[in-house]
Amino acid sequence: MTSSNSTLIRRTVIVLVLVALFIWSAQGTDFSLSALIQGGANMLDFVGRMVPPDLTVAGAAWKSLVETIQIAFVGSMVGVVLALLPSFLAAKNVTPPALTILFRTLLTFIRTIPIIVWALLFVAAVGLGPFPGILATAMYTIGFVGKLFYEAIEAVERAQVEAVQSTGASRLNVWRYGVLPQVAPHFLGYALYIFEYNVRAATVLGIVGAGGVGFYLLHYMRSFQYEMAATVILMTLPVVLLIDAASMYVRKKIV
Amino acid sequence: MNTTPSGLPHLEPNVFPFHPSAPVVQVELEDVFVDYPARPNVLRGISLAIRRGERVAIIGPSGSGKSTLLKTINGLLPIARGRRTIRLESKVRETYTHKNSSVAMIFQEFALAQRLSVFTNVLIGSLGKSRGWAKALGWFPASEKAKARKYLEEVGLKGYEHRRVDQLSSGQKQRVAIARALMQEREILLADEPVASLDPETAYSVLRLLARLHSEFNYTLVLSLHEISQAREFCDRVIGLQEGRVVFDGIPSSLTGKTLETIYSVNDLIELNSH
Ligand SMILES: Nc1ncnc2c1ncn2[C@@H]1O[C@H](COP(=O)(O)OP(=O)(O)OP(=O)(O)O)[C@@H](O)[C@H]1O
Ligand SMILES: [Mg+2]
Repeated sequence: MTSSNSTLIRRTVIVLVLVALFIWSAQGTDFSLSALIQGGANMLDFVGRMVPPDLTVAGAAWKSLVETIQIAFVGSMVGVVLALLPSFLAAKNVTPPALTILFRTLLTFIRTIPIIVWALLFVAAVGLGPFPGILATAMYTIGFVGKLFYEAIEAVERAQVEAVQSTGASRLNVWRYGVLPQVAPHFLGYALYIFEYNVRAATVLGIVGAGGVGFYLLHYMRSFQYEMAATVILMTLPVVLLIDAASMYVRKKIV
Repeated sequence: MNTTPSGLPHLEPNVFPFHPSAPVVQVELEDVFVDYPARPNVLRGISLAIRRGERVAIIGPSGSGKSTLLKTINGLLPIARGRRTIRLESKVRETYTHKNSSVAMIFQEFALAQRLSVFTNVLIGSLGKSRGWAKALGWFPASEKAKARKYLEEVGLKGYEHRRVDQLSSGQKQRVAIARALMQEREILLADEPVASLDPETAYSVLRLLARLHSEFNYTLVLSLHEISQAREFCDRVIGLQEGRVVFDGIPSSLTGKTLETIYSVNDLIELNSH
């Protein structure tokens, strides 16, 4: 029974390593149970001070919420369109290897940078406001859907592509009638998914000054105006949930 | 006309090599070798000549290179060594310019765009006829739309234009694939196992359809089949492949048990007989 013995040993080692990693990380980050309980009490106090929400800021909150969705929408659209070409050039079944390596590396690089870091960079480059938010959202979108797109392209059924090639169609038409019908539903699904994600992400972009509802949230919290912050949160939640649900519904329909 | 036991019209053998009015060698392969990136010599030294109007069956065990041979004739696969010549009547040559566009092909598993309509799938057959952006945007000339309707009627799918392909039965899908190939309006029609994924009854109706189209449009028809009986019944010439070589080329009646043994291994034969 040596093989089952060795799996037992391997499992034990994995568990021990995980436990050790957890302890090491928790110490390094001052994670403590007592602080958590203490924090819980503070949390309750905080929630208590949020009621009743101050509805006088509802107008401003609504406007910034709309801006948040606009940032997410424009950023997602721009990002998805800009991701098309590099993802095509990163797909091994339609592009020569030398190019795919180049574009995969590029997409990976873009993807490793978190959206909030992109926002910081663009605020520094173009100033405060929704515009750097859009740019950050677009960049993040390129990295994210670029990978999903080229994987979808690589999964196309070759016979369908060959069938269009066999008619003597141009490269453009081979792409249009052999590849696109196969990947379009996936692309659309991913685009909706990233929009959903970007709406959530855009709610915090305001924290670094890149537009949207996050700006008010940070402002009210910093100035201890919790009743106003509560209004912002209460308005944001249903909108985000609604967009999530709608997007999920549409994605189910198309794939 | 004689009929076979199954009630089908018996096809008179044979155009080649005795038919007096079949002069033109239309497809000619001379000592052709074909490689796949990771697999050299999938076809090794194929020489054959197919004449205008012939109806040729390619048979051979799985992996012997039937699909590869048809794709090579179509021009989808590059030739490593040897020569491929396609001779067309000039009128047709003028309208088709691209390297693949001289030969129409029907694929093993239909290879249709599942999410597009029947009509669009048939129109795809016209893509080789012109360059430019219009068709990529979905604009097909009215004359081609009329042809697409005509060919759909030809394969018995009138009224199915706006159905999505993934809602069709296998037999209907194969008819769409045939209509797409008709849409190409070539002299040469290749069909890679056109009936392999169909039940026997549907398979026969599709083979009958191909036979009718062959005579009606005066095609040169090359089809790979895995049922010897179908090859005997529907073709006037059989080419047997084994491991990328031609090991038999003759009229169906000369396909004896012994020649079959040279094409198929004993195991393949047992499997064939069990069908
Ligand atoms: N794209 C490919 N890359 C590498 N090898 C391939 C490729 N396609 C086919 N082959 C190999 O080439 C040989 C011939 O394949 P081919 O598809 O032409 O056989 P076939 O006679 O059509 O078989 P079947 O009856 O199963 O359809 C097989 O050994 C197959 O594994
Ligand atoms: Mg095959």
